[in-house]
Amino acid sequence: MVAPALSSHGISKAFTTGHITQQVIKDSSLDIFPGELTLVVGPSGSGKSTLLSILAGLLRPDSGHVLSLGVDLWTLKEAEIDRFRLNHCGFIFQGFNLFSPLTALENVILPLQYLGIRGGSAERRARRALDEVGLGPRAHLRPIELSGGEKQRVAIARALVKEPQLIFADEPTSALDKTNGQITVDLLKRIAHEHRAMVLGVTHDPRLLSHADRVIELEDGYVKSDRRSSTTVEEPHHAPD
Amino acid sequence: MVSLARSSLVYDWRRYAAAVFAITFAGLLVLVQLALLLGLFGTVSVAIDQSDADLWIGYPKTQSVDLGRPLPPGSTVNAWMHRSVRRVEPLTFAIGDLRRPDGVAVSVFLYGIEPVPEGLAFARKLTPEQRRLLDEPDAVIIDVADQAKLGANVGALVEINGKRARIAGIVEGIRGVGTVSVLTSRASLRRFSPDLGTTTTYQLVALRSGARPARVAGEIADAGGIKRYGVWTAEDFSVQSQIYWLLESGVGIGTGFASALALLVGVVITSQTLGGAILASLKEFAALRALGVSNASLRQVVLEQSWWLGLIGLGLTGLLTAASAWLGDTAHVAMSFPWWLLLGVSAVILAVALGSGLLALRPLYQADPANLLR
Ligand SMILES: Nc1ncnc2c1ncn2[C@@H]1O[C@H](COP(=O)(O)OP(=O)(O)OP(=O)(O)O)[C@@H](O)[C@H]1O
Ligand SMILES: [Mg+2]
Repeated sequence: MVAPALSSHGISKAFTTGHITQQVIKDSSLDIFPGELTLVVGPSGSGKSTLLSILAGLLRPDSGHVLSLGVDLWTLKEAEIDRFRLNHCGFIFQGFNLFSPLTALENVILPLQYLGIRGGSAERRARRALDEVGLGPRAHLRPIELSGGEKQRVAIARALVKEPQLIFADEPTSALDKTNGQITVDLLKRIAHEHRAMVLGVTHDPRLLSHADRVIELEDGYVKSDRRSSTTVEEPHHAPD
Repeated sequence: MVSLARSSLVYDWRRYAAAVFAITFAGLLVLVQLALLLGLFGTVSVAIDQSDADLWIGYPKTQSVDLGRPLPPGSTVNAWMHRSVRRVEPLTFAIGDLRRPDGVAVSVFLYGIEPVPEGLAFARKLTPEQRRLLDEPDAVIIDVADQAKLGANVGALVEINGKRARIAGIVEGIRGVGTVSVLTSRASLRRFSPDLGTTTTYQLVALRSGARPARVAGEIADAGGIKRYGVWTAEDFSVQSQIYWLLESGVGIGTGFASALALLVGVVITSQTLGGAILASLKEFAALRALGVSNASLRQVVLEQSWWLGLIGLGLTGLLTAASAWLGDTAHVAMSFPWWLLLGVSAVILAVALGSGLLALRPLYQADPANLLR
């Protein structure tokens, strides 16, 4: 049995706007495992993004614990959480969020520099990451010269280049068409399998669910169902434990 | 090494051009104004600064060198008796009317100096040969900047106060504020302005080497209850004269106000530009925050940008200042660019840029990565 990369214990989160307090996450406990693509689905407003933010160390929960790679994340100081994310976390967002003045390669190199990796070794790693998402030949282009699907793959390379154990993706495909969406999800799955990384995604696109190793359905702040896809677990390129 | 700051500046230069121009023109405005002011008020005290006197004896409480009044006799007795005093020399000022060769009259400021080789007055401007020229009766020396105004070349015959005078030589840099300066010997000056009699406006005092001017000034001061004369060190008298005109004319206040305004506008435009650039890339910055890049590192990006803007602005200011200085030089406009002014304005320019960067940081705190997840 593999130990979970990330587990939450009794986390809850409420938002107060004006006089109205809305309990978005209610006493949620989850284990997310490395080496597989886990997708969280649920209706709009069900708290998927909020849950992901809390698990990723971006949003402080009102109560509960997040055990991330064995670290009790929300007991750390702000700067230590930044450092934890820098060392261990990759992110992919719906909006790509690439710097337009920088080429694809430079966008991928940038986070490495903050890890103290510079020069030739940073460039080699960035090129390898871009090769892995199939964008090696387009590394010199700026975001404006790339298609949406290509931009998202650059963003994946940027998340991947640090070789993080934890990768978070919020609606990574919702700005993409069907084909590009599937390419992106398959890429995320391959990364989970080949790098033995935990990939936790959020989506409301039901077409992607069949590509996931595990699907967690969220409704009104509760986990409604938690399914494991038997077909994907048996996939040939899934590295044996 | 990928520099987000530099790449953004190059890629988005149109956006940043406004900031560069704001910094450049703020810097240029401050520098040229101060240079003009220094040039202008430097000329107020030109008689002091270009002479070799250590001390000046003049009418008591004279606020500026050009406001000198006739000295009462006996003002130099103390000076002559002091053992540190090497030389005492009279210098006489007078206002006169110069009639050009073509008949046009111009008001002039006349300096009557001792035309001896060891003379102190304008010793830093006049060569011994030029001094000797003034030995000749009726000989005068004018400033090259006034040459056109006086319509006269060397050798030209003019009239001063209705008496014949001859342009014997031309020097550069004796002109005062808004006046035409004419150098002549005291003997000639008495001929031009007979009512001066034997009075003199100042007595220039040179000290033996090693003597302390400030101390000697106190020792040769008028000890009487009602002072008949005052004694200043050359340095004090020069500064005092410049400050008098700075305050009296209101130019100093005007310049200070205009400089402050220019800097303020520079800061506002630059910080707005930088702030706008941050807001335009807020999501990208937030994505970096999510990836674990600290707030401090993002601040560094902005400050690096403002630093580069400052350097570019500084370079452009340098070029434009050189051009202004050249123009001023060609037009004989007195401008002074002492090293401390250049250094000071450079520091101010960089401070404007960095200060703008600091002011622009506020939008950065909106780069909350949780906002990217919705
Ligand atoms: N910062 C906030 N302030 C106030 N309310 C918030 C905030 N963030 C989220 N909410 C509320 O919490 C609820 C859950 O939001 P969340 O973004 O997690 O939903 P979601 O499941 O990701 O929805 P979608 O599928 O539309 O992205 C929503 O009702 C939203 O209005
Ligand atoms: Mg969402």
